[in-house]
Amino acid sequence: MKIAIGVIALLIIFSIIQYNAIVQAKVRVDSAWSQIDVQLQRRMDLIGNLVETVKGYANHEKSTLEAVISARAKAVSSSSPAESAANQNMLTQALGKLLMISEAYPELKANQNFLSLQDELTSTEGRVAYSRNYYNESVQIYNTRISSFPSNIYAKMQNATLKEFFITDEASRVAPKVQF
Amino acid sequence: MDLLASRAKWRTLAILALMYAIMLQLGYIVALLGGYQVGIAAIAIVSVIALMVDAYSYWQCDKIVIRITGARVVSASEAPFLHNMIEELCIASGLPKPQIAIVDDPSLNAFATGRDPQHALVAVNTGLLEALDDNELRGVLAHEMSHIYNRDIFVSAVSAVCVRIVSAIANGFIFAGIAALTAPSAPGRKTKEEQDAENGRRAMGLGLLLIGTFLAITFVPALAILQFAISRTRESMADLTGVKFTKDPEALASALRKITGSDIPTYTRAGGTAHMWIAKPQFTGGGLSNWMSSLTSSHPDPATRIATIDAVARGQSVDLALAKQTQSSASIAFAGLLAAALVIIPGYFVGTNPLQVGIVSDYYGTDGDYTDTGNSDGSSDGYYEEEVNPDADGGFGDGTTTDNGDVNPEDATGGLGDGSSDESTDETDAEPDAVGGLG
Repeated sequence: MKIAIGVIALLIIFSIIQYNAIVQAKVRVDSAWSQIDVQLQRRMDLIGNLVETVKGYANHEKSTLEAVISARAKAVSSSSPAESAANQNMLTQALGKLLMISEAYPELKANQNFLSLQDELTSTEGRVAYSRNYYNESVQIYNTRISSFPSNIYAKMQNATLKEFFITDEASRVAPKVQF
Repeated sequence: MDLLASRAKWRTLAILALMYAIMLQLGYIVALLGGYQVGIAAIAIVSVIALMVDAYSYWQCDKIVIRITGARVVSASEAPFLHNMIEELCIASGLPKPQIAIVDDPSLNAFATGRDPQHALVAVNTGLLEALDDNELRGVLAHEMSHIYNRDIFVSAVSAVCVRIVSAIANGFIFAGIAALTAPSAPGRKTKEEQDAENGRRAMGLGLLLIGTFLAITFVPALAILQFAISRTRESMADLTGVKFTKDPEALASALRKITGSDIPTYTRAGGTAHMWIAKPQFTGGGLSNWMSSLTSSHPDPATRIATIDAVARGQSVDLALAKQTQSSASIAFAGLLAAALVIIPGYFVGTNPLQVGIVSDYYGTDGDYTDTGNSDGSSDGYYEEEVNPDADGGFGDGTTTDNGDVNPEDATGGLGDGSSDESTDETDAEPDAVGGLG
């Protein structure tokens, strides 16, 4: 009798730990996702300012500027990790082009505002990359946990489903080197 | 480093050492004067105080380490560059931002401390800031952040406490043995029984002394060596975890090359802080302690570390390497706990047998004698009975020892079990995190 009670008590404790471990992993994924959001938002703001600055010097590069603006708008409105990743990749490419053409404008390159924006953008790119790594790691931990036995039983109890990775293409995995 | 600051450090260290020596000495003197029971009690009290000091220094380690090393906490405006890097690594690791400090020291080193991620501190020597480029510095900072991430300060505190408990038990046996051997015998003529009891006491004393000495020359050093082995695997783990954060093994390898190639040694102010630094500090004690530190190293051989990281740089899976280190760390910790349990658990059970001496309870020797002499006006029959199965002793034994036997050992083993399972849950918690994190 005593043994049975002991076994049941252990089982309950084990279940609580297992259940909460999944909750914890899920919370980690969510907070990792919001951390990416924070960094991406910072990136968006910087890009907005950058576009404004470039406009003042190179307004006739309309197509490039518009490509960046529309890519930025799309990136802001993306909802799922996969969609966001694709849009971010597009934005990174457009941004690369924009920075390339600004090579041709010596006045722009001498602009203090432009330089500091560029510095900040570089640092933010690093942060975006780090937050993505952390998100993917968190997703991996979470996915492993909810699919492996016996925690998958407890995952079913809370209707846990596999999370998507934030996949970036090879080029944007490393922060783009913004060099002049 | 200016003279005044270093003198202050030495004074702190000297005071600590002196306090510890005085405490041990007091226990010894009390044991000689008051008999072995008082001696054992004194040793127990001293050990408990020492453990409380350990607990306190673990709890307050960030502040204590700042005092000992002379690290200066820097704000974001003082060291924007360092803060920026640490913030990046916080994003990469999901850790809260630690305090950041700079140590005015030309040697190439850095360390992390703090009882948990919320009270963590990362400190960098000025020498390191000058010698390393951005990526190398990021690699070193990631190593330090990994110490926080892997809860290495907790791990090393637990392993240090295990060694301390076992060595306290060994000391207790030795002191009790010495006291039982050297306690003066009662004056005047003795009956055969009294003589037997005294001989028994002396034999017991010799036995205790032998057991204590055996523990002191086998288990204590073995555990200390295991403690260093744990420290080494935690260092390798921190290297690999750091590489996972930065994804830049080349930078850490080149930083380690620079650090080991540097001929400015870090003179640590306290041997106890060795495990925290990225490179093994030199001990200031001179010949003997240098020999000791080569025998028991808190850090793996730099060449091995660099080779491991280079293998990762060449494309070997960082997850596999990390899993290997985590495994060996866990198995060493398990071996250590097992070895400690081998000493600690019997240490409690010894107290259950009234014919033997425990750490906490006493054995039948002198108590029986005293009761006997007090009762000696009684019949010789009772005398004999008391000798063979002394009532007073039996009562005492029933009162204390049986209690010890029934409650304490379970408590003790339960406590120990809790401790070890805590450790292992920590370990297993860390493992999936670390391993699962592998992309």
